[in-house]
Amino acid sequence: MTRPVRPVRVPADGVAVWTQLARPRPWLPAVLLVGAAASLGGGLLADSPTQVWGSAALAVAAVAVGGVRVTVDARGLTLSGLLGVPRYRVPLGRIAAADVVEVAPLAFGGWGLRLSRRGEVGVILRAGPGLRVDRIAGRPLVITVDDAATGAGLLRALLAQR
Amino acid sequence: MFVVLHPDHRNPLYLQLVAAIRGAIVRGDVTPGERLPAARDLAESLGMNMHTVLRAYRMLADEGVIELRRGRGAVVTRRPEGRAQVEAAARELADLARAHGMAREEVLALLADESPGRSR
Repeated sequence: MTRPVRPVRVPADGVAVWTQLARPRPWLPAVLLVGAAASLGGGLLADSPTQVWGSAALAVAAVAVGGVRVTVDARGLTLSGLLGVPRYRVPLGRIAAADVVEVAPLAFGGWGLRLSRRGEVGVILRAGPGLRVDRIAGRPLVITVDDAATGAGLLRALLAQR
Repeated sequence: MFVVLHPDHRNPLYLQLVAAIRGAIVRGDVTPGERLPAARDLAESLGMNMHTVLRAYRMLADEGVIELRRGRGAVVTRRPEGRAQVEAAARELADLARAHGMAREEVLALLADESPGRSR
């Protein structure tokens, strides 16, 4: 289901950027942290190094889902972790379309980095509106982020300007 | 946070950036406690010098709207009030008018109609 996109106009000699922090529901990192703590306790009791390292990985994941910065500028769409890494960019020249879609996490099989049944790559941090970017080649990308209407609008304006 | 800069505008770029960020905070696009993008990243997005962005951040810090923390970047402290809110709204009105091709005089005439004694 698509939702309205905010019309955005960028003057020919102007520059524009839209950047928004995509934040998960507060319980998502909390659940991962509690899981990590429980797993660490179990790993220490059972003297299992694998489980201890697994717990550490879970703790890192909890921090990583603390937020993703979504940026649209003349270079295209950029997703970056809160510490600047990891960073992933879809160059403007590879983007075919931008839309706002209603995201149901279950259609993506849950939260996190997901693949939907329709073949979309999803960065799913909550339910609700998200930004969907169709690539000229490759899977569409969906990320749940506030004010996706402006992000999609700017992408469309930049695409029209090319 | 949405920023459009007009290089030919009479306002210098860093002041346009200050107005745009202040507006984003007033509207609640960026909330207290949230971090602004790293100055270097924002500068790259806008194709401008990092020092121009830092100058804008410093000005917002002087206003008390953001706090510059070593190693943590710029963090929003509170929503601007009063005069800053009016400035943000004015900037938004100017952008909207420009987008629809309205002349400055037309906008000023509209504002003049909003005289204090106006009947409602």
